[in-house]
Amino acid sequence: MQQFLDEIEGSVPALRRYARALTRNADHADDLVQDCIERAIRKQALWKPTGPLKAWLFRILLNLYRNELRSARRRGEHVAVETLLVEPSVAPAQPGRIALAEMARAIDALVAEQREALLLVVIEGMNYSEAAEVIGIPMGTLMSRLGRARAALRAATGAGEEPRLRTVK
Amino acid sequence: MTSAQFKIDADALHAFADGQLSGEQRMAVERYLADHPETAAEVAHWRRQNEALGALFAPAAHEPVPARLSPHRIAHDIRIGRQQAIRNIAAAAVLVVLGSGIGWYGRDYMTPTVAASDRLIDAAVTAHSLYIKEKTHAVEVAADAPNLMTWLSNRIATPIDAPSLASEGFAFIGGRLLPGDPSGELPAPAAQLMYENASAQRLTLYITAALPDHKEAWQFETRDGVEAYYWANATVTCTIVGDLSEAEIRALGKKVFEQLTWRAESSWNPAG
Repeated sequence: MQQFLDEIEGSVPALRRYARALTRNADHADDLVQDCIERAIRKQALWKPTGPLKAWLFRILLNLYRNELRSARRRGEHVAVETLLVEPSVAPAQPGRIALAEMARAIDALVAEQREALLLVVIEGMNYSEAAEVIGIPMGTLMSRLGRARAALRAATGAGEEPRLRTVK
Repeated sequence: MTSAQFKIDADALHAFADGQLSGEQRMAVERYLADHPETAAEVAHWRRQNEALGALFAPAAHEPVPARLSPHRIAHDIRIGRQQAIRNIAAAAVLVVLGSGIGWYGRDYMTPTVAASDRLIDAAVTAHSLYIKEKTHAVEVAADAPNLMTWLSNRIATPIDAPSLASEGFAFIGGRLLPGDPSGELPAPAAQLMYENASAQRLTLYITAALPDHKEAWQFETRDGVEAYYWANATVTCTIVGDLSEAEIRALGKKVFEQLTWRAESSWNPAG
Protein backbone atom coordinates (compact mmCIF):
# COMPACT_ATOMS: atom_id res chain seq x y z
CA MET A 1 0.00 0.00 0.00
CA GLN A 2 2.73 2.40 1.02
CA GLN A 3 4.63 1.80 -2.17
CA PHE A 4 1.48 2.22 -4.19
CA LEU A 5 0.85 5.57 -2.52
CA ASP A 6 4.44 6.66 -3.07
CA GLU A 7 4.11 5.82 -6.73
CA ILE A 8 0.94 7.84 -7.04
CA GLU A 9 2.67 10.69 -5.26
CA GLY A 10 5.37 10.64 -7.91
CA SER A 11 2.77 11.25 -10.61
CA VAL A 12 0.92 14.04 -8.84
CA PRO A 13 2.89 16.95 -10.35
CA ALA A 14 2.30 15.64 -13.86
CA LEU A 15 -1.38 15.00 -13.16
CA ARG A 16 -1.75 18.56 -11.90
CA ARG A 17 -0.03 19.93 -14.95
CA TYR A 18 -2.24 18.00 -17.32
CA ALA A 19 -5.41 18.83 -15.41
CA ARG A 20 -4.44 22.50 -15.35
CA ALA A 21 -3.85 22.51 -19.09
CA LEU A 22 -7.19 20.83 -19.70
CA THR A 23 -9.29 22.96 -17.39
CA ARG A 24 -7.28 26.21 -17.42
CA ASN A 25 -8.29 26.69 -13.82
CA ALA A 26 -5.93 25.82 -10.96
CA ASP A 27 -8.54 25.01 -8.31
CA HIS A 28 -10.69 23.05 -10.65
CA ALA A 29 -7.62 21.13 -11.81
CA ASP A 30 -6.63 20.26 -8.25
CA ASP A 31 -10.16 19.09 -7.50
CA LEU A 32 -9.91 16.74 -10.44
CA VAL A 33 -6.54 15.43 -9.32
CA GLN A 34 -7.85 14.89 -5.81
CA ASP A 35 -10.81 12.91 -7.15
CA CYS A 36 -8.45 10.96 -9.35
CA ILE A 37 -6.17 9.98 -6.47
CA GLU A 38 -9.10 9.06 -4.28
CA ARG A 39 -10.58 6.87 -6.96
CA ALA A 40 -7.24 5.19 -7.62
CA ILE A 41 -6.83 4.38 -3.94
CA ARG A 42 -10.38 3.07 -3.58
CA LYS A 43 -10.04 1.02 -6.72
CA GLN A 44 -6.51 -0.13 -6.14
CA ALA A 45 -7.66 -3.72 -6.50
CA LEU A 46 -8.76 -2.98 -10.05
CA TRP A 47 -5.33 -1.91 -11.12
CA LYS A 48 -3.42 -4.73 -12.75
CA PRO A 49 0.24 -4.12 -12.09
CA THR A 50 0.94 -5.22 -15.64
CA GLY A 51 0.53 -1.71 -17.01
CA PRO A 52 2.25 1.40 -15.77
CA LEU A 53 0.47 3.06 -12.88
CA LYS A 54 0.98 6.48 -14.39
CA ALA A 55 -1.03 5.64 -17.50
CA TRP A 56 -3.83 4.28 -15.36
CA LEU A 57 -3.90 7.48 -13.30
CA PHE A 58 -4.06 9.61 -16.42
CA ARG A 59 -6.88 7.46 -17.73
CA ILE A 60 -8.84 8.01 -14.52
CA LEU A 61 -8.15 11.74 -14.62
CA LEU A 62 -9.24 12.02 -18.20
CA ASN A 63 -12.41 10.08 -17.53
CA LEU A 64 -13.30 12.28 -14.60
CA TYR A 65 -12.72 15.33 -16.73
CA ARG A 66 -14.87 13.98 -19.52
CA ASN A 67 -17.64 13.08 -17.10
CA GLU A 68 -17.62 16.64 -15.91
CA LEU A 69 -17.67 18.01 -19.42
CA ARG A 70 -20.59 15.78 -20.21
CA SER A 71 -22.65 16.79 -17.23
CA ALA A 72 -21.73 20.46 -17.70
CA ARG A 73 -22.90 20.24 -21.28
CA ARG A 74 -26.12 18.59 -20.21
CA ARG A 75 -26.80 21.34 -17.75
CA GLY A 76 -25.85 23.85 -20.40
CA GLU A 77 -23.34 25.47 -18.13
CA HIS A 78 -20.95 28.07 -19.30
CA VAL A 79 -17.82 28.83 -17.47
CA ALA A 80 -16.86 32.47 -17.29
CA VAL A 81 -13.99 33.22 -19.61
CA GLU A 82 -12.20 35.23 -16.93
CA THR A 83 -11.85 32.17 -14.74
CA LEU A 84 -10.36 30.17 -17.55
CA LEU A 85 -7.86 32.56 -18.93
CA VAL A 86 -4.87 32.45 -16.72
CA GLU A 87 -2.61 34.96 -18.37
CA PRO A 88 0.93 33.80 -17.98
CA SER A 89 3.37 36.31 -16.65
CA VAL A 90 5.92 36.08 -19.38
CA ALA A 91 7.56 38.51 -21.69
CA PRO A 92 5.66 39.44 -24.84
CA ALA A 93 6.20 37.20 -27.78
CA GLN A 94 9.46 37.54 -29.58
CA PRO A 95 9.59 37.42 -33.34
CA GLY A 96 9.14 33.89 -34.58
CA ARG A 97 7.45 32.89 -31.35
CA ILE A 98 3.79 32.38 -30.79
CA ALA A 99 2.19 34.84 -28.38
CA LEU A 100 1.22 32.83 -25.35
CA ALA A 101 -2.11 34.48 -24.75
CA GLU A 102 -2.98 33.78 -28.34
CA MET A 103 -1.98 30.17 -27.90
CA ALA A 104 -4.03 29.90 -24.71
CA ARG A 105 -7.11 31.06 -26.60
CA ALA A 106 -6.37 28.75 -29.49
CA ILE A 107 -6.09 25.75 -27.18
CA ASP A 108 -9.41 26.59 -25.56
CA ALA A 109 -11.01 26.72 -28.96
CA LEU A 110 -9.85 23.22 -29.88
CA VAL A 111 -12.25 20.31 -29.94
CA ALA A 112 -11.92 18.53 -26.58
CA GLU A 113 -10.67 15.27 -28.05
CA GLN A 114 -7.93 17.03 -30.00
CA ARG A 115 -6.88 19.02 -26.95
CA GLU A 116 -6.62 15.88 -24.79
CA ALA A 117 -4.43 14.18 -27.34
CA LEU A 118 -2.16 17.10 -28.11
CA LEU A 119 -1.53 17.92 -24.45
CA LEU A 120 -0.67 14.34 -23.55
CA VAL A 121 1.95 14.25 -26.26
CA VAL A 122 3.33 17.75 -25.98
CA ILE A 123 3.00 18.62 -22.30
CA GLU A 124 3.29 15.18 -20.77
CA GLY A 125 5.84 13.99 -23.29
CA MET A 126 4.09 10.68 -23.77
CA ASN A 127 4.99 8.66 -26.79
CA TYR A 128 2.21 8.01 -29.23
CA SER A 129 1.36 4.50 -28.12
CA GLU A 130 1.20 5.56 -24.45
CA ALA A 131 -1.03 8.49 -25.29
CA ALA A 132 -3.31 6.34 -27.45
CA GLU A 133 -3.62 3.88 -24.61
CA VAL A 134 -4.46 6.53 -22.04
CA ILE A 135 -7.16 7.97 -24.27
CA GLY A 136 -8.32 4.52 -25.30
CA ILE A 137 -8.07 4.95 -29.06
CA PRO A 138 -6.04 3.29 -31.81
CA MET A 139 -2.77 4.88 -32.74
CA GLY A 140 -4.07 6.00 -36.16
CA THR A 141 -6.88 7.92 -34.49
CA LEU A 142 -4.43 9.57 -32.16
CA MET A 143 -2.27 10.67 -35.07
CA SER A 144 -5.17 12.14 -36.96
CA ARG A 145 -6.35 14.05 -33.87
CA LEU A 146 -2.84 15.34 -33.42
CA GLY A 147 -2.73 16.44 -37.03
CA ARG A 148 -6.06 18.22 -36.84
CA ALA A 149 -5.14 19.88 -33.55
CA ARG A 150 -1.94 21.25 -35.02
CA ALA A 151 -3.60 22.47 -38.15
CA ALA A 152 -6.24 24.25 -36.07
CA LEU A 153 -3.63 25.83 -33.85
CA ARG A 154 -1.66 26.96 -36.84
CA ALA A 155 -4.72 28.55 -38.37
CA ALA A 156 -5.46 30.31 -35.09
CA THR A 157 -1.98 31.49 -34.18
CA GLY A 158 -0.25 32.92 -37.14
CA ALA A 159 -0.97 31.15 -40.35
CA GLY A 160 -0.12 34.43 -42.02
CA GLU A 161 3.22 34.82 -40.38
CA GLU A 162 6.20 33.78 -42.42
CA PRO A 163 7.98 31.22 -40.34
CA ARG A 164 11.69 30.96 -40.29
CA LEU A 165 12.99 27.51 -40.78
CA ARG A 166 15.54 26.83 -38.13
CA THR A 167 18.19 24.26 -38.60
CA VAL A 168 17.07 21.35 -36.61
CA LYS A 169 19.76 19.26 -35.09
CA MET B 1 9.74 1.10 -37.48
CA THR B 2 12.99 -0.07 -39.03
CA SER B 3 14.91 2.17 -41.36
CA ALA B 4 13.95 -0.02 -44.32
CA GLN B 5 10.25 0.61 -43.67
CA PHE B 6 10.64 4.19 -42.60
CA LYS B 7 8.45 6.35 -44.72
CA ILE B 8 8.28 10.09 -44.53
CA ASP B 9 4.58 10.64 -44.06
CA ALA B 10 2.54 12.87 -41.79
CA ASP B 11 3.10 10.57 -38.82
CA ALA B 12 6.84 10.75 -39.30
CA LEU B 13 6.70 14.54 -39.45
CA HIS B 14 4.76 14.70 -36.19
CA ALA B 15 7.16 12.28 -34.58
CA PHE B 16 9.98 14.50 -35.79
CA ALA B 17 8.39 17.60 -34.27
CA ASP B 18 7.81 15.73 -31.00
CA GLY B 19 11.34 14.40 -30.80
CA GLN B 20 10.18 10.80 -31.04
CA LEU B 21 12.44 9.66 -33.85
CA SER B 22 15.69 7.78 -33.68
CA GLY B 23 18.82 9.53 -34.95
CA GLU B 24 18.75 7.91 -38.35
CA GLN B 25 15.09 8.65 -38.96
CA ARG B 26 15.56 12.19 -37.76
CA MET B 27 18.29 12.76 -40.29
CA ALA B 28 16.13 11.33 -43.05
CA VAL B 29 13.37 13.79 -42.16
CA GLU B 30 15.84 16.66 -42.04
CA ARG B 31 17.05 15.83 -45.52
CA TYR B 32 13.47 15.65 -46.72
CA LEU B 33 12.57 18.99 -45.16
CA ALA B 34 15.60 20.67 -46.74
CA ASP B 35 14.04 19.85 -50.11
CA HIS B 36 10.45 20.72 -49.17
CA PRO B 37 10.38 24.23 -47.72
CA GLU B 38 6.60 24.36 -47.37
CA THR B 39 6.46 21.23 -45.29
CA ALA B 40 9.46 22.49 -43.38
CA ALA B 41 7.61 25.69 -42.54
CA GLU B 42 4.68 23.69 -41.25
CA VAL B 43 6.83 21.45 -39.11
CA ALA B 44 8.68 24.49 -37.77
CA HIS B 45 5.34 25.95 -36.78
CA TRP B 46 4.42 22.76 -34.94
CA ARG B 47 7.63 23.04 -32.98
CA ARG B 48 6.83 26.61 -32.05
CA GLN B 49 3.42 25.42 -30.93
CA ASN B 50 5.12 22.87 -28.70
CA GLU B 51 7.34 25.58 -27.25
CA ALA B 52 4.42 27.87 -26.57
CA LEU B 53 2.42 25.05 -24.97
CA GLY B 54 5.39 24.16 -22.83
CA ALA B 55 5.76 27.76 -21.71
CA LEU B 56 2.09 27.93 -20.84
CA PHE B 57 1.59 24.67 -19.05
CA ALA B 58 4.85 23.06 -18.00
CA PRO B 59 5.43 25.30 -14.93
CA ALA B 60 2.39 23.87 -13.14
CA ALA B 61 4.34 20.69 -12.43
CA HIS B 62 6.95 22.58 -10.45
CA GLU B 63 4.59 24.29 -8.07
CA PRO B 64 4.50 22.93 -4.54
CA VAL B 65 1.80 20.29 -4.26
CA PRO B 66 -0.93 21.23 -1.78
CA ALA B 67 -1.37 18.88 1.17
CA ARG B 68 -4.85 17.89 0.08
CA LEU B 69 -3.30 16.12 -2.92
CA SER B 70 -1.09 13.88 -0.82
CA PRO B 71 -2.07 10.29 -1.63
CA HIS B 72 -1.07 9.30 1.90
CA ARG B 73 -3.42 11.83 3.40
CA ILE B 74 -6.22 10.86 1.06
CA ALA B 75 -5.72 7.16 1.86
CA HIS B 76 -5.84 8.02 5.53
CA ASP B 77 -9.04 10.01 5.14
CA ILE B 78 -10.63 7.13 3.27
CA ARG B 79 -9.64 4.76 6.04
CA ILE B 80 -11.02 7.06 8.72
CA GLY B 81 -14.24 7.41 6.76
CA ARG B 82 -14.61 3.65 6.61
CA GLN B 83 -13.84 3.22 10.29
CA GLN B 84 -16.35 5.91 11.05
CA ALA B 85 -18.98 4.13 9.00
CA ILE B 86 -18.29 0.87 10.82
CA ARG B 87 -18.40 2.66 14.15
CA ASN B 88 -21.69 4.27 13.24
CA ILE B 89 -23.16 0.90 12.37
CA ALA B 90 -21.83 -0.56 15.60
CA ALA B 91 -23.19 2.37 17.58
CA ALA B 92 -26.58 1.96 15.93
CA ALA B 93 -26.57 -1.73 16.81
CA VAL B 94 -25.76 -0.88 20.40
CA LEU B 95 -28.62 1.59 20.50
CA VAL B 96 -31.01 -1.05 19.27
CA VAL B 97 -29.84 -3.38 21.99
CA LEU B 98 -30.19 -0.61 24.53
CA GLY B 99 -33.68 0.16 23.38
CA SER B 100 -34.73 -3.42 23.88
CA GLY B 101 -34.24 -3.11 27.59
CA ILE B 102 -30.67 -3.70 28.59
CA GLY B 103 -30.50 0.00 29.30
CA TRP B 104 -28.12 0.80 32.04
CA TYR B 105 -25.51 -1.79 31.17
CA GLY B 106 -25.18 -0.39 27.71
CA ARG B 107 -23.48 2.74 28.98
CA ASP B 108 -20.01 1.34 28.64
CA TYR B 109 -20.55 0.42 25.04
CA MET B 110 -21.45 3.98 24.24
CA THR B 111 -18.02 5.23 25.16
CA PRO B 112 -16.29 5.64 21.83
CA THR B 113 -13.26 3.46 21.55
CA VAL B 114 -10.24 5.40 20.50
CA ALA B 115 -8.16 3.45 18.02
CA ALA B 116 -4.92 2.04 19.40
CA SER B 117 -2.96 4.00 16.82
CA ASP B 118 -4.55 7.25 17.97
CA ARG B 119 -3.66 6.52 21.57
CA LEU B 120 -0.10 5.68 20.64
CA ILE B 121 0.16 8.87 18.60
CA ASP B 122 -1.19 10.86 21.52
CA ALA B 123 1.36 9.30 23.85
CA ALA B 124 4.14 9.95 21.35
CA VAL B 125 3.19 13.60 20.92
CA THR B 126 2.89 14.12 24.68
CA ALA B 127 6.28 12.56 25.32
CA HIS B 128 7.79 14.54 22.48
CA SER B 129 6.50 17.86 23.78
CA LEU B 130 7.61 17.03 27.31
CA TYR B 131 11.19 16.11 26.54
CA ILE B 132 12.30 18.16 23.56
CA LYS B 133 12.23 21.30 25.72
CA GLU B 134 14.91 19.87 28.00
CA LYS B 135 18.35 21.24 27.39
CA THR B 136 20.58 19.09 29.56
CA HIS B 137 18.29 16.15 30.33
CA ALA B 138 16.62 15.62 27.03
CA VAL B 139 17.53 11.97 27.11
CA GLU B 140 17.92 9.46 29.90
CA VAL B 141 20.76 7.60 28.25
CA ALA B 142 23.08 9.22 25.73
CA ALA B 143 23.56 7.76 22.30
CA ASP B 144 27.13 6.69 22.99
CA ALA B 145 26.29 4.68 26.11
CA PRO B 146 27.12 1.02 25.64
CA ASN B 147 24.18 -1.33 25.20
CA LEU B 148 21.61 1.45 25.04
CA MET B 149 19.70 -0.20 22.22
CA THR B 150 20.04 -3.70 23.64
CA TRP B 151 18.62 -2.45 26.91
CA LEU B 152 15.70 -0.69 25.23
CA SER B 153 15.05 -3.69 22.97
CA ASN B 154 14.87 -5.97 25.98
CA ARG B 155 12.61 -3.67 27.95
CA ILE B 156 10.08 -3.08 25.18
CA ALA B 157 10.43 -6.74 24.17
CA THR B 158 11.05 -6.14 20.52
CA PRO B 159 14.32 -5.74 18.66
CA ILE B 160 15.11 -2.21 17.63
CA ASP B 161 18.10 -0.31 16.48
CA ALA B 162 18.49 3.45 16.37
CA PRO B 163 17.98 4.28 12.69
CA SER B 164 20.67 6.44 11.20
CA LEU B 165 19.20 9.71 9.96
CA ALA B 166 22.54 11.35 9.27
CA SER B 167 21.73 11.62 5.59
CA GLU B 168 18.75 13.79 6.55
CA GLY B 169 20.91 15.91 8.84
CA PHE B 170 19.68 14.43 12.12
CA ALA B 171 22.04 12.98 14.69
CA PHE B 172 20.94 10.42 17.27
CA ILE B 173 21.37 11.92 20.74
CA GLY B 174 19.96 9.18 22.94
CA GLY B 175 16.88 7.57 24.33
CA ARG B 176 14.73 6.82 27.32
CA LEU B 177 12.28 4.26 28.55
CA LEU B 178 8.70 5.44 29.10
CA PRO B 179 5.92 3.68 30.99
CA GLY B 180 3.51 3.89 28.05
CA ASP B 181 -0.16 3.06 28.31
CA PRO B 182 -1.17 2.08 31.86
CA SER B 183 -4.39 0.29 30.87
CA GLY B 184 -2.64 -2.84 29.71
CA GLU B 185 -4.48 -2.66 26.40
CA LEU B 186 -1.53 -1.32 24.46
CA PRO B 187 2.01 -2.59 24.25
CA ALA B 188 4.12 -1.06 27.02
CA PRO B 189 6.58 0.18 28.00
CA ALA B 190 7.76 2.40 25.17
CA ALA B 191 11.16 3.60 24.04
CA GLN B 192 11.72 7.18 22.97
CA LEU B 193 14.68 7.95 20.73
CA MET B 194 15.66 11.55 20.17
CA TYR B 195 17.42 13.14 17.22
CA GLU B 196 18.66 16.63 16.62
CA ASN B 197 19.82 18.50 13.54
CA ALA B 198 22.27 21.34 13.06
CA SER B 199 19.59 23.97 13.61
CA ALA B 200 18.58 22.35 16.92
CA GLN B 201 15.37 20.93 15.60
CA ARG B 202 14.46 17.80 17.50
CA LEU B 203 12.73 14.73 16.34
CA THR B 204 11.55 11.81 18.46
CA LEU B 205 10.62 8.24 17.71
CA TYR B 206 8.15 6.55 20.04
CA ILE B 207 8.53 2.83 19.71
CA THR B 208 6.62 -0.06 21.23
CA ALA B 209 6.24 -3.75 20.57
CA ALA B 210 3.63 -4.70 17.97
CA LEU B 211 -0.08 -4.40 18.57
CA PRO B 212 -1.93 -7.70 19.09
CA ASP B 213 -3.27 -7.62 15.53
CA HIS B 214 0.28 -7.45 14.09
CA LYS B 215 -1.13 -5.60 11.11
CA GLU B 216 0.76 -3.19 8.93
CA ALA B 217 -0.70 0.30 9.20
CA TRP B 218 0.19 3.94 8.62
CA GLN B 219 -1.27 7.12 9.89
CA PHE B 220 -0.31 10.71 9.50
CA GLU B 221 -1.53 13.32 11.94
CA THR B 222 -1.00 16.91 12.86
CA ARG B 223 -1.48 17.36 16.58
CA ASP B 224 -0.70 20.28 18.82
CA GLY B 225 1.30 21.89 16.06
CA VAL B 226 3.58 18.96 15.43
CA GLU B 227 3.46 16.32 12.77
CA ALA B 228 3.22 12.68 13.74
CA TYR B 229 3.76 9.78 11.41
CA TYR B 230 2.69 6.44 12.81
CA TRP B 231 3.62 3.10 11.44
CA ALA B 232 3.00 -0.42 12.68
CA ASN B 233 3.91 -3.86 11.47
CA ALA B 234 4.24 -7.34 12.89
CA THR B 235 7.21 -6.36 15.06
CA VAL B 236 6.87 -2.76 16.19
CA THR B 237 4.83 0.39 16.27
CA CYS B 238 6.77 3.56 15.73
CA THR B 239 5.56 7.15 15.77
CA ILE B 240 7.84 9.83 14.43
CA VAL B 241 7.12 13.22 15.90
CA GLY B 242 8.62 16.53 14.87
CA ASP B 243 7.90 20.09 14.00
CA LEU B 244 8.68 19.56 10.34
CA SER B 245 6.86 19.75 7.08
CA GLU B 246 4.80 16.78 6.04
CA ALA B 247 7.18 16.09 3.16
CA GLU B 248 10.20 16.12 5.45
CA ILE B 249 8.61 13.85 7.98
CA ARG B 250 7.57 11.43 5.28
CA ALA B 251 11.10 11.33 3.91
CA LEU B 252 12.40 10.67 7.42
CA GLY B 253 9.68 8.11 7.96
CA LYS B 254 10.83 6.13 5.01
CA LYS B 255 14.38 5.98 6.37
CA VAL B 256 13.24 5.11 9.87
CA PHE B 257 10.85 2.40 8.82
CA GLU B 258 13.29 0.79 6.46
CA GLN B 259 15.96 0.59 9.11
CA LEU B 260 13.73 -0.50 11.96
CA THR B 261 12.26 -3.33 9.92
CA TRP B 262 15.55 -4.41 8.60
CA ARG B 263 16.96 -4.96 12.02
CA ALA B 264 13.78 -6.50 13.28
CA GLU B 265 13.71 -9.02 10.51
CA SER B 266 17.34 -9.94 10.60
CA SER B 267 19.17 -11.01 13.67
CA TRP B 268 17.82 -10.30 17.07
CA ASN B 269 18.50 -12.65 19.84
CA PRO B 270 16.66 -11.74 23.03
CA ALA B 271 18.94 -13.99 25.02
CA GLY B 272 22.00 -12.10 23.82
